[in-house]
Amino acid sequence: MPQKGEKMKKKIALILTAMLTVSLAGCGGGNDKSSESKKDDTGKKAVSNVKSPDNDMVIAVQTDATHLDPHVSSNGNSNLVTNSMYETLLAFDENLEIQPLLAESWEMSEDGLSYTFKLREGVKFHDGEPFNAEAVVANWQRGKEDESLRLASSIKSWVNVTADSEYEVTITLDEPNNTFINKVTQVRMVSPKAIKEKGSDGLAKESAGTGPFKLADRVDGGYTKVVPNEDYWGEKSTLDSLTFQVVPEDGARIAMLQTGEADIIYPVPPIQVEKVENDKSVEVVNLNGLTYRYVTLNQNYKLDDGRQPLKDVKVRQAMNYAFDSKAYCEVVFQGYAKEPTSLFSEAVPYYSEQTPYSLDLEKAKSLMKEAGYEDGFPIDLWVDNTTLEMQGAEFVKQQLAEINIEVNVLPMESTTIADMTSAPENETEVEMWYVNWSPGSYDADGCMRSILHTEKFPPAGYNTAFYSNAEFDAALDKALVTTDEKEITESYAKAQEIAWEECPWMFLGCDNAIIGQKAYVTGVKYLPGGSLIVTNAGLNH
Amino acid sequence: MSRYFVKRILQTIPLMLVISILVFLFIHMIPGDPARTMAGLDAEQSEVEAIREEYGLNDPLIVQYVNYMKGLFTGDLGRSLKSDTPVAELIVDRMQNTLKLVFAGILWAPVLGIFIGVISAIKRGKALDHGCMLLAITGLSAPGFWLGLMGIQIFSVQLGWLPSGGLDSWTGYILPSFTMGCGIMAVLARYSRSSMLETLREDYVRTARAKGQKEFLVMFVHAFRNSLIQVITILGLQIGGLLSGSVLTETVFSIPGMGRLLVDSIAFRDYPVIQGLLMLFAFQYVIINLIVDLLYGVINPKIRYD
Repeated sequence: MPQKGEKMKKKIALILTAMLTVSLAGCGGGNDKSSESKKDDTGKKAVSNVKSPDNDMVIAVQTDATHLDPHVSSNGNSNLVTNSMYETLLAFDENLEIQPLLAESWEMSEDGLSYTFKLREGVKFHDGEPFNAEAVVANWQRGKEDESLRLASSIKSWVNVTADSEYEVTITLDEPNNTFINKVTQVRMVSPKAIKEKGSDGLAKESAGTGPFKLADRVDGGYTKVVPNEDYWGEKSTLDSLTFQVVPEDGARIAMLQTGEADIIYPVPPIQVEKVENDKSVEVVNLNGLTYRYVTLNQNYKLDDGRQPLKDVKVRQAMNYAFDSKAYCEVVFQGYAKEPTSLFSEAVPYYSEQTPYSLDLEKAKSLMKEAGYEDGFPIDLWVDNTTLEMQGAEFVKQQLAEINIEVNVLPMESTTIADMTSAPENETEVEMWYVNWSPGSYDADGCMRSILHTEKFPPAGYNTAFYSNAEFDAALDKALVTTDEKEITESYAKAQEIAWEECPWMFLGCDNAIIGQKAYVTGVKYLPGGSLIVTNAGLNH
Repeated sequence: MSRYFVKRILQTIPLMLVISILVFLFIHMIPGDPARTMAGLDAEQSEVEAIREEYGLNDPLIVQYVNYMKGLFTGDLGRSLKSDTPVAELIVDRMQNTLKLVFAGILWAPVLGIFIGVISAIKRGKALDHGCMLLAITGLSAPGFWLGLMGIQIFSVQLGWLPSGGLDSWTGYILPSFTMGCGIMAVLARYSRSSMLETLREDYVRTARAKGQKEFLVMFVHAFRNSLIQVITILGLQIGGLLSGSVLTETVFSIPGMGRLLVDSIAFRDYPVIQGLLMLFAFQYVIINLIVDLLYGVINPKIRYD
C-alpha cells in the first residue's frame, strides 16, 4: 500500500507540474514569436517588424467616450475620440505651445478684455456648411443657452461674441483672464446647422465638425470608427480608417499590441511595461505626466480629545518629510513617475520648482514632537478601490507608521468617494483622501484653484483639505486677471511657494503617461499627459 | 399546460412590480451623484445643478419612480443619463453580444459536463472517475478571468491562432466560449455525477436490473433520464447567471455586452440603465425557471402542472 501511495503522489506531482508549466508558458511576457509575421482568421493584421499589413489604424483605449457631441462631454476619453472629428480655434502642440488651427491668428486688446480672431477661410464642416464667424457665434450661443453642457464652463467668461466680418470674430470677456486662450483650445466647433437640426442625439450618430476624420460607425462600449474627411482643409489623412477600440482589461490591451490587433494602446500600466519593452515591434512612449498624486489633509480633523493635529503646519510638514516619494515612484509606479517638486507637473506652464521634502525621518519626528504629537494619532485615509490606488494608499500607511500616525486605509468605489468628498465642511467625513488631479487645459490656475482656493471648499470645488490662505488666494486671483506675462509668472510662483511651505497635502508624485505603439505607426503626436494628435497619423504598410 | 404557462406569466407581474420598487430604492440609496459624474470632477457647481434639474434628479424619489413607471407601461425605459440614448435601444444592442456569448458557452458545456458526470458515475471509484472529477474541480476552481487571459496569452499572443478579443469572426468565439463554458461544464459534471449516483440507488433501477434488463438500458432509459431533472434545474440557474454575469468574459475579451453595461452604469450611477437591466435580469430568471419547469414535464411525462 505505501508503494501504491507513493505512485499516486508521483502521478499527482506530475500532473501539477504539467499544469504549472502550461500556466507559466501562458504568463510569459514579451516573446520573440510576437514579432514574427502571423495572420489570424479575422483578417486583421499579424505582427511584423516594419510594415503594417493594412491601412486601418486601431487605437485600444481603456474606457469609452462618454458622448460624441463634443459640447456634452469633455473628459479625456471623449476628447481623444472627438478631437479626430472636431477642431478648435487654437490648439496645443506636442510642446504645449499654442498653435493656430481654425483661427489663423489672434490679437488681444490692450485692456485684455477682448480677443479678435482671424479665421481660416475655405473650411467646411462635415455636413457641407461653411465655417465662419457666424459659426463661432452659434457655438457660443449654444453654451450660453444650456448650462448643462460642458461647453458652458469653457465659455463662462465670454460675455459677447461678435462676427466682425465673415472671417473675423471678436470675443469679449467679463474681465481679463489669463486662462482664456487655454479654454479656447477646449471649445470644439460644431456646424451651426447640426446644432439646430440634429442636437446631441444626432451628433452622437453623425459628426459635424471640421476635423480630418468623419464618424463612420460606433458601437457604444465597443468602438468608434472614423474615416478620412475627403474635404478636409489641411493635409488629408493617408489612413483608410481609424478605430478607437474599447479594451478595458490591461492584459488584453497589451495582448492586442503584441498580436498587432491594435497599433496603439493607451494607457500601458507601469507594471505591464516590461511585457512589451523588449519587443522590437513595439515602441514605448514615455511622456511627462499631468496626473499629480497627493493626499488631502483635512485641517478640521478632530481627535477624540478635541485636538486638531492637521491644523498644525509642523504635523503636515512632518508627514511630508516622513514620506519617501522616491521609493513611492519606484515601488508603486515601477519608476514611471516623478518625485514632486511643486503642486503640479513640471509640464504645465508657470510651474515653479520648489525644494523637495526629501525623506528625513529625524526631522519628521522632531517636528511631530515640537507639535506635541510624538505619539502620533489615528486617521482614516479614503482611496479609490483600484489596485494602483490601493497600493499607493498602503504605501502612505507604511510611511506614516514611522512617525506613529496610524492610518486606516478605507478603499471605496470612486463614485461614492466623489459623493463623500463633495460634502460641505461641517458635514464631511473625509479626513485624508488619496487622490489625483490633472488639468484639462494645461493651465496653472486649473491645477490649483479648484483644489486649494478658499472659495472652492466642497461642494463648490474639491478643496477637501479645507486649506485657506488669503495670500495664496490673492496670488491666484491676481494671476488670473493679469495680462502681463512677468506678473503672471511671479504670482503663480508665489502661490506655489506658499502652498508648498504650508503643506495642505502630502505631496506624492506625478506619474508618467505611458503609451505603446507599433514601430510602423507614423505621424501620431503625443502631448504631455497622453493626449494624441492623429491628424497626420499613418501606418507604414 | 397552456393554462399553467399563462398563470405563471401573470404571476410575474406583481413580482416585477416589487422588483421595480426594490431596484429603484436600492440604486437611489447608494451614494453617488450621476450629475457630478456626468459633469466631471472639475466642473462648476452650476453645471452640476443644471444637469440635476434637466434630468429631474431634484424631484422627490416618489415622483421619479412614478415617472419611471409611467414610461415603463408605455414601453419607454427612459434615456441613459450617460449617453442620452434610449435605454431600450442600448440594452437591445448589448443583449445581442451577450446572447451570442451565452449561446457559444452553452452549445458545448452542458453536453460535455453531463457526459463527464455520467461517465464518472458509471465508473465510480475508478481512475476515469478521478480523472473526470479532477477536470471538473479544475474547471470550477480556475476563475474565468484567469482562464480568459491565459487563453489570450497562449492562443493569441504565443501561437497567433486566435484573435484576442471581439466577436468579429467565428474564431473570435472560441476563447470567450471556452471561458464562459468551463465553469458550467464543471458544475454540471459534478451535479450530474451525484444525481446519477443517487438515481442509480433508486428502487426502480434495482427492479429494472432484477428484471434482467441490459445495463445500457438501465443506465440511459431509467437512471440517466430521471437524473436529468436535477441537472436541468442547475443548468437553468447557470444560464440565468450567464446572462447577467458575463461581465468578466466581456471585459477580458472587450465585448460590449450587458454585463459590462451594468458595471459601467453602476459606476456612472446611470439610474435608468441600471433599472432597465436589473428588471430584465429578473424577468430572465423568471422565464428561464418557467422553461425549466416545463422541461420537467418533457423529461418525465408523469409530472403534472396543476
